[in-house]
Amino acid sequence: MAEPISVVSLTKTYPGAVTAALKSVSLDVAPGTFVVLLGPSGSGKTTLLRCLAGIERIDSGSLSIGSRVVADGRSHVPPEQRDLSMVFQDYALWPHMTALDNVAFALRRRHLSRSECRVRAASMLDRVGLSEFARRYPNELSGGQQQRVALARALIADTGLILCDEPLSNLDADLRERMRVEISSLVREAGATTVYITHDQAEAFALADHIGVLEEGVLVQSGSAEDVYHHPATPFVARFTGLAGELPVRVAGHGGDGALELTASGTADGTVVSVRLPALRPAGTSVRAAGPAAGTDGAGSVLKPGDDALLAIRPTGVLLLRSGGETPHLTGRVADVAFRGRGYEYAIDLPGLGRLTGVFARHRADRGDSVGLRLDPEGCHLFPADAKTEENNTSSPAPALTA
Amino acid sequence: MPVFWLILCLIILLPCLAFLVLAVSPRLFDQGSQWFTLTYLRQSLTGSTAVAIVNSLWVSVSAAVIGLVLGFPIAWLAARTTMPGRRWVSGGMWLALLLPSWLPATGWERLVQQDGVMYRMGLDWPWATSAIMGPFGVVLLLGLRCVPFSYLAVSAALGGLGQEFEDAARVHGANRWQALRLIIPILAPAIMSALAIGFAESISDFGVAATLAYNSNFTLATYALYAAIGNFPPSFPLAAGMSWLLVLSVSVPLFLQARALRGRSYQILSGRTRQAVRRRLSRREAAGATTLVALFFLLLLGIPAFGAVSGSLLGDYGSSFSLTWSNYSALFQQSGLLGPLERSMVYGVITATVTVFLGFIAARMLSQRRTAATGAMDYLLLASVALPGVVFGAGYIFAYNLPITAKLHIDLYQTVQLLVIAYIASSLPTNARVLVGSVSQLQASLRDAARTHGAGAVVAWARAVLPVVSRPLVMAWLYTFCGVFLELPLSQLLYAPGSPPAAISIEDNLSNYHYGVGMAQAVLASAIAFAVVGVVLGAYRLLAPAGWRRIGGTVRG
Amino acid sequence: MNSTLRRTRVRLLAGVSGAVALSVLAVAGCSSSSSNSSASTSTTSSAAASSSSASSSSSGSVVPLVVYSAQGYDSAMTKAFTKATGIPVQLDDNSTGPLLTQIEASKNNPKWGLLWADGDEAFAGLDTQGLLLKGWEPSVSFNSLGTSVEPKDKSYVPTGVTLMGIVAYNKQKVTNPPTTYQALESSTWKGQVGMNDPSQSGPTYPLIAGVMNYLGGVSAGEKYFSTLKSNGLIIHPTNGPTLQALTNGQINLALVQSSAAIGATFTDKNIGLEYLDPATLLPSQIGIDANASPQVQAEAKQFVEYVLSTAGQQVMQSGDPTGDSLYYPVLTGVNPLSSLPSLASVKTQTVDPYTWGTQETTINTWFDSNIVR
Repeated sequence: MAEPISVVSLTKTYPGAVTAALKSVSLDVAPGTFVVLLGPSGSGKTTLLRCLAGIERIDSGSLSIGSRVVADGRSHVPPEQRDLSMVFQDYALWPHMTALDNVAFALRRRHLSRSECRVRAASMLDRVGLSEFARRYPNELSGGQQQRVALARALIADTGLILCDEPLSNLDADLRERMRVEISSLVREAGATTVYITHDQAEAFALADHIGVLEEGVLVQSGSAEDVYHHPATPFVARFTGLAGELPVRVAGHGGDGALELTASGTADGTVVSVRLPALRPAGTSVRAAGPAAGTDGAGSVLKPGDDALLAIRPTGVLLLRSGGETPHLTGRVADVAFRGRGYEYAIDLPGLGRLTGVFARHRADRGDSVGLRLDPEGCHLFPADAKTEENNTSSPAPALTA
Repeated sequence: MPVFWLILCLIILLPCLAFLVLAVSPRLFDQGSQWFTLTYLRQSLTGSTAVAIVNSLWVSVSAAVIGLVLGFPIAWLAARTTMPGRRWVSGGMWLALLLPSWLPATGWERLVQQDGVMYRMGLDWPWATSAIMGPFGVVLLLGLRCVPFSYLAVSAALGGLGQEFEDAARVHGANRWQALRLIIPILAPAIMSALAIGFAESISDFGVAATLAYNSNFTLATYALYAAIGNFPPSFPLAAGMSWLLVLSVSVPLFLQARALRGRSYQILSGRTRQAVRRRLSRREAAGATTLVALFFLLLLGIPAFGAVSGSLLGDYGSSFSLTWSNYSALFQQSGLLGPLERSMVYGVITATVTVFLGFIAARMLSQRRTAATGAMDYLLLASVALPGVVFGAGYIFAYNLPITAKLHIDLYQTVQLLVIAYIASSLPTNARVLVGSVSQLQASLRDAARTHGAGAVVAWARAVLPVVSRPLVMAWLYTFCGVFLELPLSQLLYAPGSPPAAISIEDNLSNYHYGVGMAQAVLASAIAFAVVGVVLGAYRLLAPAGWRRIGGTVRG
Repeated sequence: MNSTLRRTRVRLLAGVSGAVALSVLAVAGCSSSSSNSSASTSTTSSAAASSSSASSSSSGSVVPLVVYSAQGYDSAMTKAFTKATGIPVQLDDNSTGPLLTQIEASKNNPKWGLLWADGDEAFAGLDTQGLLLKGWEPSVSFNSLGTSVEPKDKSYVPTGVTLMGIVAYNKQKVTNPPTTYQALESSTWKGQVGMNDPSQSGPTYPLIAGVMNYLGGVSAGEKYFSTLKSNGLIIHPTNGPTLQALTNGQINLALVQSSAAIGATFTDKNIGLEYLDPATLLPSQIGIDANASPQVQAEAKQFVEYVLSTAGQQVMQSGDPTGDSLYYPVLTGVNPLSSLPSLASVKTQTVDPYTWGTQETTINTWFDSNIVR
C-alpha cells in the first residue's frame, strides 16, 4: 500500500558541524510517486533520505509517512517500525548470507514461515533475473548482481515506501542504464512510493515523476522533471540541470511582446567586447520584463533597462551555424570537438565572454575554426544578477563566466 | 617467504618438536632407555595428570568464553557508543595484557586468604575465600586475563565494520538486538580468533596455576607439567606426553576458527565502508555503562595493583597491618640490583623490535586468504602458545644440544643470543595474533595507490600501510617488551651464566628468605616497565603525525 | 619527489636508525657486561697475572669456570675466587630446580663445571647417573658434621650444613613449643602447623625423608603426615611464604629450614626457635661435572678448595647474612656465626641420600596427592 510522505520544516545539524545539513526543508509526496532528490554531495539529500529511513534523528520539524508522524523534535519511530525498505549505494548485502537468505531476511517482518519466505525470495530473485545465483554469497557476485539482490530485498516485503541511496553510482557505466530501467520498471510495478537520491541529473530526469533539487541543505526547487528543466528557479538549478554556459548581460531595452534586448560584454586582450543579443523573451519564471507586455502571473522580479542579469544557456539553446548560413548572434572559435556518433559536441570559446560547452551539431567543424552561433530563447534562462551565483560542484560541464 | 618459514622452523618448530619427541623416543636425548615407546603418552592420560589435564581443558574453555562475554560488550560500548571514558578503555586493556599473570593471582590471594586483607579490614566473608581459592577463582582470573584478547580482536573488527549492515537490517524490519545478532557472524572470524588465543593462553598459563590454583589444591596441567620437570630426576618424557595433549587440544578452537572463516579473509574494511555513527547513550545508560566498565577494570587492574603494593609495603615478617618502606630500602641496599634490570631492559628492547617485525609479517600472512600453508603456520603459532614456558625452554636445551648442532658448530646454548632467540620465539605467536586484527583491515590497494603515485616500495609502505597499523605496532611492541622484561621460566633455563635477567633476581628473593624484598623488587620492575610504556607512548603521541592516531576509529562523534 | 614524501623518508630513516642504534648499543652493552661462552676467552678480572698456582694451563688460554649454584652467597664467593686466583667464573645463580633441569636436559653437551646446592639427594641422583666426578677429596679436615655427610665414593664435597626439623614459633602465642615430632600430632596444635611443599621446596624432602627414617619407614611416615593433615596441617610453597604465614598469624608453628628460621628472628623479634628431636642434617655440597674437560675440572677443584679455605669460609659467612650464611660449618676450627643456636644439645641424624634419593619422586607425588591436596 503506497504511502504519502509529508516533510515539514525539517532541520538537522550533525553534532560538531558548523552549518546545518538540512535547513527547514518541506516537501510533500503523493502516494505512489517516484520522487528524485537531486543535488551535489553535501547538499543534504543523503541526510534527508536517512532521516526518512529513521537512521538519523531530526532536530526540528516533522516527518510523516502516511497518516503517522514518524519523527518530530521529541519523538522518533525507529526504522524497523516504519515499514519501509532501502537500496544502498554499496549494496549492504550481509556477507555471511547467501543471496537467497539476504532477500528472505526482509520478509521476516511479515511473520511468514521460513519456507514461505524462501519460496517468495526465490521467485523475487527470479524476477530480477538471478535465480541461478540464489545460493551464492555476495562476494561471489558482480556489482550489478549484488545491486539486483539488494533491489529484490527491497521489493519483496511490499512496503509502502522504498528509499534508494544512489544505487547506480557504484556500477559500471554500461550497466547503469540497464539497471536504471530495471529499477524504474520494477518499482513502478510494485506501486510503492519511492524516494531516490542521485547527483546525476540525466538519471534524475529519466526516472522521476517529481524532482526536488537540494542545495546546501535547502530545497531550492521542486516540481515535475519538465518543470524543473524548463523553468529553473535559480542559477544553481539551471547549472545543475545542464548548461552550455552562462553570460553576464545587461538589459539594453525592451523589444516588443515582453522581450528584452540584452548586451553581453567582457574584455578580450584588454579591449572591451560588447555584443548585442537579439531580443529574447526570458523563458524562465524567475524574471519578467516590466512593461505592458509583462506577464500577469506576478512571478519573479522585474528587470528594467540598465539592470544587470545572468543569461543561462542550455545546450539546446545554442545552435552552431553552418558557414554561409543565417546571421549569427555570437561568433567564437572551436576549442574542442568530440564525436558522439549521432553528431558532434563542441566547446566554443567566445572571445571576452568565456566558453560554451556541450554545443551539439550534426556537421563537423575543426579545432580553431571560427564559427557562428544563434541563441534559441526556448533554451535560455534569464536571472537577475543578484541571484545567488556561487558555483557548486555540479556535474554539468559549464564553467562560470567571470566578467 | 621461504626465509620467514625457515626462521619459524628454527626458532619455534624445532624446540617444540625436540621436546615432544621425548614422549615417544626418550633415548634420543638420553632421557630413557627406549627408542620408541607409548608408555609416557599412556601415563599422561591416567591418574593425577589426567585430572590436571581435564581441569585445564574445561577451565581454559570457560576462561576463553568469559573473555568473550565480557570483552565483546566492552568493545562495543567503546567503539559504537558515546560512553564516557571510552578513550581510556583501550589503554586499560593493554595495561592488563602487560601484567604478568602471577601478579593478579597474588593480589587476589592476599585479599581473600585467611587472615588476608579482607579479614583485616573487618569483612568476614568466608564464602569469598572459598570461592576465589578454588576452581571458580581460577576461572575468573584466567577469564579476566582473556578479556583483553577479545577486546582487541573485536575492536579491530568493529573499526572496519561499516554502518550499512546494521542500517540495512533495521530498515528491513530488524530491531536493534536483531540487527546486532545479524552482524555477529560478520565478526565471527575475530571472535573465533579471540577464543582461540584465549584458550591457548589459559591452558599454558603458569602464573595462576602456581599461585591461586596451587594454594587451592586444584591442579592444572601446567602445574603438573612443572612438577614432572621439577622433580628430581625430572621426567621429561612424561612432561612431553602431557605437552602432546596440550598441543592437540588447541586444534579444536583452530578448527572452529577455520570453519568461521570458511575460506574468507578477516578483512571487513573496504574504502567504501561508511563510517559507523556512535549511538548516543542517555544519561542513565551512560552512567550504567561507565559504572560497569569501571567495576570491570577494578577487578582486572585494581586488585593486582593492590596485591603487589600491599605485599611489598608490609614488613617482611611484620605481624600487623602497618605499612613500611623497609623492603624498598633493603632492596636498594642490595648490591647488583641495577645489572639485571638493565640487562632485561636491553633484552626487552631487542626482542620487542624483532618480534614486532616478524609478527607483522606473520600477521599479514595469516590475514590473507587461508591456504594450507597459512593454516599450518596458524597451527604452529597457536600450538606453541599452548606450551608453557618451561617446555619451550627445555625444548631449546634439547634442540640446541643435539650432537648434530655441535657438529654444525652451532654452539648457542647458554648464550645471550639463544636466550633472546627464545624470547622472540615465545613472544612471536601471541604478538602475531594480536596484530592480525588490525593488519587484516589493510588493503593492498592502499599501498598500490601510493606506489603508482611515485613512491618507492619502502616509502609506499611507510606512507600507506604503516600509518594504519602504527598504533597496534607500538602496542604490540610494548606488550612484548613487558613480557620479556618480567619473563621467568625461559630465563631460568636459558640465561647465560653471569648475566641474570631481572626475573631471576626477583625469584631468588621471593622464593627464599626475602619475600617482602622480592615483592618490592617485582613492584619496582613493574613500575619500570610501565615507565617505559609511558615514555614510548608519550613519544608516539608527540612524534607520530596526527592522522596516524585517528585511523581505525570511528570518526564522527 | 614532493616534500611530504621526503619528510616521510626522513622520518622513516630516523626511526630505523634509531632502532638499529638501540640494538647496537644493546648488543654492545650485553657483551661488555657479560661474557659469552662459545669459545670466548675474555677474562672478567683485572687481576689477570696475579695468579697463584696453576691459573692458566700451558695452552695459553684460560677457560672460564661455569658454576651452577643456588646458594645465597655464591656471587660473593665467585668474585672473591676470581680475585684470588685469576680464574674467570661464569655464575648461573638459580633455584635448584632449574639448575637440575638444565643439567639433565643438556646431558648431550653439558656446559657446567660444578653444581653447588643444598640437599644431597639430588647429588646422589646425579652420581647414580654417572654425572659427577668421583674419588677426589680436598685436603681439608672435616668435623663430625662434615664426615657424616660425606659420600662414600667422594662424588661430592660438603661445604656446610643446615637443619630440617627446626620449629619457628610465635612467641606471643606459643609458650611451650613442641620438641618431638609426635607432639605435633596432638590436638593442641590443631590447625597451627605449617610446612613447605616438597615439590617446590628443595629442603623439604629431606625433612620428610628424615621423619620417615626416624619413624621406621615410608608407610610409618605416611601415616604420620596423614595424621598431621587431619590435624590441620597447612602447606605453603617454600620457606618464604611459610614464614610469612607465621608472621601473619595464619600458623603458629613453621617447619622450615634452619637458616630461614634464624634469619626470620632478625626481623621479627616475636619468633622463637626450637629443634625437634632428631633434626635432619641438610648439607650443602659441590659436585664436579664428570664430563667436563680436565682443565675445567682442575679449576673446579681449585674452587672447592677455596670455598673450604679460611678466606672462603669468611665469604660464606658474610655473603648472605640473613639467609644461607646461617649455616653450620663442616670444617674443624671454623665456628658458626654467633646468632646460630648451639648444636650441643641437639640430636641430629642423616638420611642416606642414595636410598632416599631414588624415592624422592614417589614420595613427593604421594605427598602432593594426599597431603597438599
